Amino acid sequence: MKKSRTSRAHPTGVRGALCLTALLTAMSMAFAGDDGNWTEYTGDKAGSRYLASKGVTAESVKSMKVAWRWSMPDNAVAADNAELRTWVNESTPLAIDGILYSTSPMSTVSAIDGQTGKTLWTYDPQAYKDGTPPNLGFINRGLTYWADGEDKRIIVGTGDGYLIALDAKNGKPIESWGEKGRVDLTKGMRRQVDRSLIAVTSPPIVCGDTVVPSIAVLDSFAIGRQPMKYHPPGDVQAFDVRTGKRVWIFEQPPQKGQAGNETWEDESWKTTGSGNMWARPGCDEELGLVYLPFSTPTNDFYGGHRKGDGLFGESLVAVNAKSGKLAWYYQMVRHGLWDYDLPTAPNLMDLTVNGKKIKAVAQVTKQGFVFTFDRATGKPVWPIEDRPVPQSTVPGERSAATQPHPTVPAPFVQQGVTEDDLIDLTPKLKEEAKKILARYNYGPLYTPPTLDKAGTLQVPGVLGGASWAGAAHNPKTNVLYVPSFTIPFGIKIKKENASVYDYTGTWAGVGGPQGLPLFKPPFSTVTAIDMNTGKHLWQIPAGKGPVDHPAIKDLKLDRVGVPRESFIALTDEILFLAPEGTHGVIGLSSRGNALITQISLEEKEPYLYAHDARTGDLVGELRLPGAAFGALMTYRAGDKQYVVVPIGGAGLPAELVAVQVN
Amino acid sequence: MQTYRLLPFALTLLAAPALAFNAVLPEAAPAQEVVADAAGGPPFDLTDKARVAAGKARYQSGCADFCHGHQPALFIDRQGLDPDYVYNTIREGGRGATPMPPWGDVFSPEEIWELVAYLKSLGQW
Repeated sequence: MKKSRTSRAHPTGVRGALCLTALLTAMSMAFAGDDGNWTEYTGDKAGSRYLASKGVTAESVKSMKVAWRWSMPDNAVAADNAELRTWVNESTPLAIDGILYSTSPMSTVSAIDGQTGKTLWTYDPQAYKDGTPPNLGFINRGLTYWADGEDKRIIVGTGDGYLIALDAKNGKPIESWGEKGRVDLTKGMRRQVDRSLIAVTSPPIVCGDTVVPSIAVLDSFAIGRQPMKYHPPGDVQAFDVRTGKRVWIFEQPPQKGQAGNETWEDESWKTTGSGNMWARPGCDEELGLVYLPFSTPTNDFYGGHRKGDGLFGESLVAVNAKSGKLAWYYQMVRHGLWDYDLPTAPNLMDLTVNGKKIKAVAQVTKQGFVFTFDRATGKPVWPIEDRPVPQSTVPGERSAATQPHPTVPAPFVQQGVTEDDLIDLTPKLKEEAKKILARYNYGPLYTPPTLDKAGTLQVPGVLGGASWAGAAHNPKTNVLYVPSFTIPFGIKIKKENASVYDYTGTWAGVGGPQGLPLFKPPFSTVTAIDMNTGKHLWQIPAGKGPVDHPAIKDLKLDRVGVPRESFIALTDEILFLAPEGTHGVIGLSSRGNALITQISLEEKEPYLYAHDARTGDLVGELRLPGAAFGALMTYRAGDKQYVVVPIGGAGLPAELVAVQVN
Repeated sequence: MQTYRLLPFALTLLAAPALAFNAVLPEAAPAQEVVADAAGGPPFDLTDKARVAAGKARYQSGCADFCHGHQPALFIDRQGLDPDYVYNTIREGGRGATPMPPWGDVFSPEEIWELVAYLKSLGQW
């Protein structure tokens, strides 16, 4: 089924002109080159998830094959201790000159021969010895490479809150860095932090000589455990990449006298926590700016104790990489009540808009927008309108009267809920969907959470929209590829009688009739956007999806998209896409700080798909030994190019699967 | 009438040693007595196929996506669960230990018992 494809606005000739223009302007950025290396978690510091690749074509991907599989060191650790079950494997490696560097859910670091998958060295920081990290337990999405001449280092943030620098040649800690190779991230924050409440899940970024780690904080969304009165704050720390010495701290919420402090009423900045940056930042080394994507302050769904807009919650903040001094910011959600954390590193791109060259930064969001700014000044590239939004009915709450709505590009996913959005592939499904919808309060985007019924049906849900899977960008064409999905969440507020908070939130993912999604297909998509014009080029379903479901199989639909997120990596001609696998929560960790889950043993769509990057057409597919759970990457070693897919974890062996694609 | 402390999710895990997760919260949610009521036990035979099917449909739309899953490892082949306890957990939700919402405002006792029937059909209790 191709009905979701919206347009093919750019015939080849127009695109060719775009290519040439963009090519001339884009090369000054630190985009991934054509050396076959994948030097950053997101491909490059611009967050492109792109690798220039001449030999990867619509023809070559027809014969994709698994070249090697690599078993992560965690599997042996977990075999000795069932308490150390990891979350799904979200660890994505880097590739430097034919060697892969991989972290693992338990934050072990390994070097791997890129042609054979043979382990060269492993360093185990024993980040598991005190038990599970918060929220989803053992997750570590990637690591960071830095080199100055022959001094080559791997920097990894761990699940127990350390930043570690290793010698890339042998995996040994850099003894002169921090305290014997490590920095304790719990020590630098403005107040004492319980180590079980924080973790590093995203890889840090090195911007100039400064390394900036992200940090996850116990989130009431994840496990329902209420935030403390003095919850860990969202402070961002930065360190000298050569010495490990702290060079600055950006305090979040801003303290007395700092910009933004006035947006916190009744001195709520003193106690409010989270609002942290768990996603990876972006970096423009020429401008010397780091771009910090911040999340929702505590608690996620009720803010009666933190009245005001609450900067820098859900803001993109540009700071000077050397000093940490604020350059500019934009708050994308005021007084957040939806857990619409900025979920991924922004995409940096050099645009030509109406003939004017703009060094831009684009942030994809859970709520389905692409916010685009001049990355030097923060000035919006296209108008962003403040529009009135529905108001909260929860006692003590004061939701923001308006929220910012970008006018260009158009949203890439369903926003808000009407009855017309319900699945209607058959009349029976529509009737059943109406009954499910009747359990909830619903309305347009930014309808606040509610106390009654099953709460508010939030669309996009708390996971997106866009998600931590991010977006890919080709710097030669300035096309942005945004994977997204449409799974609603029911957010129900409950009254607390003996708590720090008067109200807290509960949640549940919301499905539709007979195990199908609640809303019309496509259930997930990739949207290609020409960022020079802001116009959508095309939109395709991400994956095949449940077309064989008994209720709809007679419709003989082609592809409707998996009702989950998808991971992508981009080459010049091919967009690689792997739908996320499935799993089910089975309990809490013994520390009480994390959910524990089990991967489905009968995965329906464990595939790597290859799409024509110009048209979105499906040109190749390969059944994998397990479904993807982490970001994809691609690299060359020798004369071969590979796409690596993280699979397993959560009850199954965690592995990397390398697929040869040329 | 039965009285439970918090941690429904955790306690269900304790009842399943095969899962090997000792889910005790060291710093639990506030010590708040929650009184749950299994409404006098199931009003129908929990093995009734029509009731199981109705419970499955309700489970798929309210419990599966991004939490318990469509192939719920927490309940497949599960042993030792008490129907009243499962009923009360669905009715009251996570009570500060998990983000599970209380479904007692949404589903009737009979509808919750149908959910219990479906979960029971997956396990061995």
